[in-house]
Amino acid sequence: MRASLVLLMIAATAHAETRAQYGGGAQAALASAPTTFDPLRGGPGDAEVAALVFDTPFVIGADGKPRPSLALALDNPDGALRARLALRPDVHFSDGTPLVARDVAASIARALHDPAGWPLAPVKSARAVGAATVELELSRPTPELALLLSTPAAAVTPGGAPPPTVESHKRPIGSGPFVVDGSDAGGVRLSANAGCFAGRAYLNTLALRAFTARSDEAGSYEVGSIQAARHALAALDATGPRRAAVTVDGPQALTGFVAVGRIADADVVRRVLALAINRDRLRRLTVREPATVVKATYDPARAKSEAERRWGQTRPKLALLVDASRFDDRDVAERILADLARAGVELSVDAVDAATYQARVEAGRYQLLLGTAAPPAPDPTLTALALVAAVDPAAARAALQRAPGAAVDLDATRVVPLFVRAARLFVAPELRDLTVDGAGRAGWADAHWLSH
Amino acid sequence: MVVRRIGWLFALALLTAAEPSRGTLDAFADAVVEKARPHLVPARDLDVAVAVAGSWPRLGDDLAALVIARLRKLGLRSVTRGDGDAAWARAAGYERLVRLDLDVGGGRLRASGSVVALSASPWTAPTELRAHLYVETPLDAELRAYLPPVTTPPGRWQARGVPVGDVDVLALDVGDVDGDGRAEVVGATATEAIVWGWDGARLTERRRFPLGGRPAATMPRAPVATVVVDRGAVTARSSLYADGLYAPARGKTIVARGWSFPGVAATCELPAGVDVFAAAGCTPATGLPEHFWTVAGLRGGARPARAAPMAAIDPAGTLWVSLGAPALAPAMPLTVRGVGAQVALVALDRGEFVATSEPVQPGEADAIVVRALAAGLPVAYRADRLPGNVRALAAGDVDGDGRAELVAAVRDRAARRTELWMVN
Repeated sequence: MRASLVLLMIAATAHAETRAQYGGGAQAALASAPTTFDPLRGGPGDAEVAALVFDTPFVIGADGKPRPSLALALDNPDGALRARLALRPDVHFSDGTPLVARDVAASIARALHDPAGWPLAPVKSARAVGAATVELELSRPTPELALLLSTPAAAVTPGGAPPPTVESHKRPIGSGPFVVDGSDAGGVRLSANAGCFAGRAYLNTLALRAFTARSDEAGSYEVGSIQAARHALAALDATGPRRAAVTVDGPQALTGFVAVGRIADADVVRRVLALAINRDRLRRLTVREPATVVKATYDPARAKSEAERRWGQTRPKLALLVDASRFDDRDVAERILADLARAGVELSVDAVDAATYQARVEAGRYQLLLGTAAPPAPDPTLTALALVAAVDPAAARAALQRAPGAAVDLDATRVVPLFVRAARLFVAPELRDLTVDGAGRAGWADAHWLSH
Repeated sequence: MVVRRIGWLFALALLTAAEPSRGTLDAFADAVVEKARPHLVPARDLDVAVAVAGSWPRLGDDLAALVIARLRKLGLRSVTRGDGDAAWARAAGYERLVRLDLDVGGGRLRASGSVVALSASPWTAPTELRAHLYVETPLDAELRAYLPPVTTPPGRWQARGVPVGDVDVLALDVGDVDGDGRAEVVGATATEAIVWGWDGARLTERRRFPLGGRPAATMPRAPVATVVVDRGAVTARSSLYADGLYAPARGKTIVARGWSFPGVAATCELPAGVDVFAAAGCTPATGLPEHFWTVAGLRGGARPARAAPMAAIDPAGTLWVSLGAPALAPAMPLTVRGVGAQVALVALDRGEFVATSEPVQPGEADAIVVRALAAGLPVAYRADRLPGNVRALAAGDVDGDGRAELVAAVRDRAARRTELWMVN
């Protein structure tokens, strides 16, 4: 067997004790087309870029627990309704302006007034007390506050101002390991932020691109124009890979779901969807990453009778909104279309560009929605609430406001979970220490070339 | 007849005046100069420094001399021997730096390097890589004569590990901390310095110093620490904090500035955001590589400190060794490529050695490689099958038997366990 035909299906292994090299650049595929730099908005591709540009008071460490990042310490006594966040001194945004408590308080305040800021639900208000302390007023004792302050909702922007959209061609200002050099609807170009308090990224430059077809992405990996792909293997099944790759899997935490919009008979539609979709087959045929199906009853006959009871012989016509830049979702949509046809529901797939998709999701302008819920932090409650928040952030906020481990009754929501999968990257073997988190974001700040 | 004889003599004189037969090293130098020449224009306006590094001092010296002679012939304004440090060459007013790194392997001599343009202008980059140089030639009798036979110093080596728990050691040193006349091992993590003493069978913890104070404004992505024991005092520093800690044997601990290294008189500064020290930030100047991960000097033994060998590892993973003593010190340091990030120098009863950590294969533990401090840096011992990565190296008499050991902190990251390995 030619060595060049071998795809290295080994997980990233522990590296020997030589230090990472600084320098070089990398190009990689995004999980979805970029639309905005706002950490509160956008799809999985946007979330990846935002995590590279902005910092949060806490971050999730290798042990899965929150550890201080922008924060030095959190004074949050048991049972208290007031917490104090001490910040690192001498932190600067990439434009050189100091990052102070006022910026952190304003950023948290912005999240409190934004539906997407639901992970900060227990926080009632935030105010700066001096240059390096933020006082948080809480609606309930919040032992998990450090975890919540590690979510994208707590990302700090200058003065708490919302970062620009990709289309505006303006550069966002953050304090993270990368700065944005340029962007368009097809991708984002970044370079290392030499002034990042947590250390400059090892790579000098990083170009993240969205592709219009899976074969384009796989072909780009094959010819070496990208060094990390998200869809390489699936597209190369037929021909066989020609370039070695190491697979890097994140934890299984991304929930694929279908949501029912604010339409007539939404409850009936949800019941039909829940019964008609064969999740096992869906996972087998369309999900190539490590995944498990959500436990549910598959009963197409009952789904059909439910549909006939409500609509009789007239086949209801529904449209499923899909982000066209997410190739996997398009495959899943095709399977759902087939399953619903058997249940007597006529489905059309409404594949739109990423920006339109985001706008319609936020405005609730869809009949059915195919999406992926990413947990804002590795926590079972936040993972479940992220699924609710995908269609009803206010419900997620209310649940989190009530209690730290609020139980969520998914049957009472308009969401039908399908499977829980990991994000997978195919990475050039010479590119080391690239990791993927539970939200599917690649940790580019620690990635480096073996030599360059 | 006389005229005829004169004719023969003249012809003979012409023949003997012709260029002597060219050796392999001459041809090698020609090839190097041929590759560098297009990037050394306009020749008459350039002052050029030539730096040659490798493990074979005489070979390096001769090649440097040949390259310099040929470059002078090209009409360059001046050509001189340099030490490879671009900052030094730039400060000294050179416009170009020709760097060569010699390597012998697989029966071939290889020179790889670069032509670097240097500028003193505030409007242009201080250094700009103009060309990569690469020349190789098979080793023949002439070149082999430059390579002395590598002899491994005699003696049996042993290595043994002692567990010290879940301590993420980033730096080590050995010295008498408590004034009892026996050396202790001092390890630095990102947040504290820990003193272990040998009780005859194992290392027991004697003391802990928390490292703290002002947080560093800008850290490297992976934490870095150094620790030095000198005259009973511990100086430790971690990249998490703006200042270090100086803990004397008696009295209060105080803040320490700069980063200190075992056996090195200089303290250095870590540029913001990275884990690489810059020689330009070391006081006093030490003749270190331009950038380096770590440096160690040989302590103890009969040599005066100024003549002691020193070893550093640069960010390309190259070990640089300066043999130190004037009689032994060549104009160039000895180099070995492809080593890990840790280094220590040790004087044993059978000679002086430099130890480095070396990566083996992805997913496998590191090795400790011990080389004799002699031309060619021959490998004297290699400890494989360690239970993890080598996080730090140091040297000293830990077990009180009157002989120094190498001490390595070996960490199994998955098992969250660290062992201190002693090699002698």
